[in-house]
Amino acid sequence: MNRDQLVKQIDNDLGSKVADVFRRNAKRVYLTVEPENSLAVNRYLFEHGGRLATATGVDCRDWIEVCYHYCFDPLNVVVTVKTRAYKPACELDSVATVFPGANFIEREIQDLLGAKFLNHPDPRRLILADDWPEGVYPLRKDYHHEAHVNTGRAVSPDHGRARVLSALRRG
Amino acid sequence: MNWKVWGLSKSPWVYHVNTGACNNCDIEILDCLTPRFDIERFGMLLVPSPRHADALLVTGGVTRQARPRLQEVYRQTAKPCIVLCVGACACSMGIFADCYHMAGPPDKVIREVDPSAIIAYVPGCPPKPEAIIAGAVKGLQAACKLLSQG
Repeated sequence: MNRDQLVKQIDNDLGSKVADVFRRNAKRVYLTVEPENSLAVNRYLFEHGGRLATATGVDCRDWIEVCYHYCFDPLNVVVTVKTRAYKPACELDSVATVFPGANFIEREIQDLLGAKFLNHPDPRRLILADDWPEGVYPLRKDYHHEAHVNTGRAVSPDHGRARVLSALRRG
Repeated sequence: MNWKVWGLSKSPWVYHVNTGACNNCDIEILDCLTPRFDIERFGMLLVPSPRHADALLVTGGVTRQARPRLQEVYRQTAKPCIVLCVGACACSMGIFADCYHMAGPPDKVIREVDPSAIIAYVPGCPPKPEAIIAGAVKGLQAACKLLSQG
């Protein structure tokens, strides 16, 4: 099988489960998937030779985008499954129920971005400190650093924007 | 000279604490022990327990999780002892200053439990083994001078 056949096969087999297939170049494929189809798509890629390299998360204001990156090593292709965990619930089916390799990375995304992974086998806190407050996610866009960490500076109501802007103006 | 200070001045035993370093300083400390520098010829020894140690060697800025642990290790260290902060992060937090997971530099964290702690600094990213040895010698000399004064 070559790369084109793989993309064609994914497109045929998954069909309506994938909202969009975007091929940025020969070696990079992005599948945009609604959260209800995420588990099925991930399971399909895993069962057809994909190796979960890692997962990543981005805070996109109205949702948290969770991307699962699958390597197809013999073909030298990376297929990324992009899913959205919509705020405020931020819920998504856990992939760790299918393969345990996703366990720790999902816990890390849960800690830092606050996506909730449903049916996760072990949803305890992973990398934040024990005394870190509940419900505060340091990699969210609306995270206010000075409000949560004592940096010795006064808390500014504009999230420090004025300070940054004046520094930029000064050059 | 007080016998405790006399005991501290020669062959200090060292307990190494990594409170959030990237491992680069730790590798340089390992270099001090290997044959090229071989600080064991001066009786300096890495020991596995703070109860046996005369010096605490701290690498890395202190993370929120490591803060109470570093303070507990400092409490357990036999006094008098000196603290050696090795590397840019341990001296001034380096690139991790104001990070969300950091509690502060080790000197600040240790002074929370003992305001009169004797602390020496070895800057560098990472410091050379020569610098670490020089820092240890200067720190010990200063500590002995301070302690014998009163």
